[in-house]
Amino acid sequence: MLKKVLVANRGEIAVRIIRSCRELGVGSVAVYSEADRDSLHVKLANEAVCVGPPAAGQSYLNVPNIISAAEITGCDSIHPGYGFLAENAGFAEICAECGLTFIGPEPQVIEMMGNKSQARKTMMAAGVPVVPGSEGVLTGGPPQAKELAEEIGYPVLLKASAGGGGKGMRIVYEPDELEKAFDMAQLEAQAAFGNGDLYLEKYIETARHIEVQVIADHHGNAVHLGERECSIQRRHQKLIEESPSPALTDEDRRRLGAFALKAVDAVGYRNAGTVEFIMAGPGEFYFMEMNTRLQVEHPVTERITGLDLVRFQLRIASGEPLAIKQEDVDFRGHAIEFRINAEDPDNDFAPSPGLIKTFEPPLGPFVRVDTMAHSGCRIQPFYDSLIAKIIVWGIDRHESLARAQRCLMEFYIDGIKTTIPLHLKILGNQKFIAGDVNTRFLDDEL
Amino acid sequence: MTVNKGKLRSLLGRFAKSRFRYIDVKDGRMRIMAVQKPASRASAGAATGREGPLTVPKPSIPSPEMRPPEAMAVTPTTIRSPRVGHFYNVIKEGEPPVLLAGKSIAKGQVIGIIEAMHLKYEVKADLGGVVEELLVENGEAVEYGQPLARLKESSEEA
Repeated sequence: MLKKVLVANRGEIAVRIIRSCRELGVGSVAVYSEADRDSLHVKLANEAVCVGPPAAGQSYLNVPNIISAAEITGCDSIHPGYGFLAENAGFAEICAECGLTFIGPEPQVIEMMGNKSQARKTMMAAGVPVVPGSEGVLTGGPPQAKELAEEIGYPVLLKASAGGGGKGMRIVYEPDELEKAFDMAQLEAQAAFGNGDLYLEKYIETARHIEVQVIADHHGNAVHLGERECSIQRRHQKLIEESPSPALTDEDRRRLGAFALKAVDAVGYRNAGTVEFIMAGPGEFYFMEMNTRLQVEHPVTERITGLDLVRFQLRIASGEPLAIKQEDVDFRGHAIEFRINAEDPDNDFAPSPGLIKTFEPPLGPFVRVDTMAHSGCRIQPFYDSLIAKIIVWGIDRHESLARAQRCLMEFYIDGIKTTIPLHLKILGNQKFIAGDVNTRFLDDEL
Repeated sequence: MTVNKGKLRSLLGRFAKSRFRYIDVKDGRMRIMAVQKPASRASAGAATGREGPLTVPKPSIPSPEMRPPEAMAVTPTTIRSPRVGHFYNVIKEGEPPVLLAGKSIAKGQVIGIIEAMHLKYEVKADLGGVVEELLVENGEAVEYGQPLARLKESSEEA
């Protein structure tokens, strides 16, 4: 078993990881910026090292300081959480060179999956369905894109190979828009990711985002832990995630699980990861991308399977074989997560940092709240706005929605603005209640 | 089941004006639960399940309290570590340490080495003055911002 883990992150996920370390008897080291000196993750860890000033680039992304922090505290491993350095292949490589176990997949797998067009190619070769489009990067520029678009039919989507989060992406409805869209997407991609490579896909206008959680050890064993539906998004950022998806049949679930395991096998994936699909219609699934890290919404899967994913991550990184087989994986009930952000929904979601005077999260049966916030804590303006996740479980979707509504009403945060009112609005929406959603839900309905 | 709207309106109205935060009322087969935030905001109540969408009135917006993060509690005469690693007092083999009580240092002068990831980084003084006290041992592990040495209070600081 690992002896001491440096948690290279902050906020709710750092707290989450430290808790599982404590439960396994593994030491934990927190790193923090000067702005996070009084943070909960700093208080909970066994030791803490200040790694820089408030700016993330000089602290949480400061590789020399983070590695050094691991060295001076005698850590044998690093858990990168999500965001920050979690999908930085270079960082994973440096960890390996310094004799630190990176809790995640191999650097070359991170690299491969980070290259979206390469990932597409790999999946095609493995027999995993992908959205119709270019085989790899559009080396032939706009003329190649135009030819391909003609073949597969408009509208099409130009996407950044090195990208994510909606940057370097352009939807093209008409052939005469394509050249300009290509140039703009390329410029944006170059600026955001340092790489202007683009690939092309058919644009599926009405789609559901369905992702599958996978976990694999270093002994060739891998299981899938079911899907999560994450169609409720705002500007490509997920707001609500649930499992099981109201849109999937048991057969769909079986097929998606099999595709996800094919993906794991094709790239030699290790530890926890998520394979994302787009659902264009009943039974119609296409591979989108693979996230080579633990995700924000992992608690949804934990709730319906009864498995602690971080605990699995630590055990796998320690070299232990997976303790479960696919037939041991059981899904029970329905779980749904709501991301609470420090944003003002009445002011175009402007960030709302500041002092939280009172923080009273909902409690009660089958309610989980992952957060670093508490009464009297300060939400800093330097980092992302996620302050809490509420995850509720019910024996079925009807119960979990009722429970969710009760929880969101009970949740009292005074001092900053949050997205709780938005979630309550969504919960009152008839289409959402019926499970009739797609990735354009927020734009269309609210 | 008939809902006495007048009764309901009156009840919720009185609740909204009260100091109470939570109300849970049962009347025959109907049940109303409502919550209000104490600081002059009211949330509309939600019936259990069947009624229409929940409406949350627009709250009044107090200006957010924003302060820059507290400045570190160190005096301006403290030299702090610029990075994480092991701090060494000795810059060159055979040469005496620069950071010693009573010694004078200039702003920008190399006052030590921090070793991190098998690389050595020079630590330059961001203040000049006379060293009052060395705050770390030779070879000690330091974090970002950790005080390394305190200089004497002087009006001649660079």
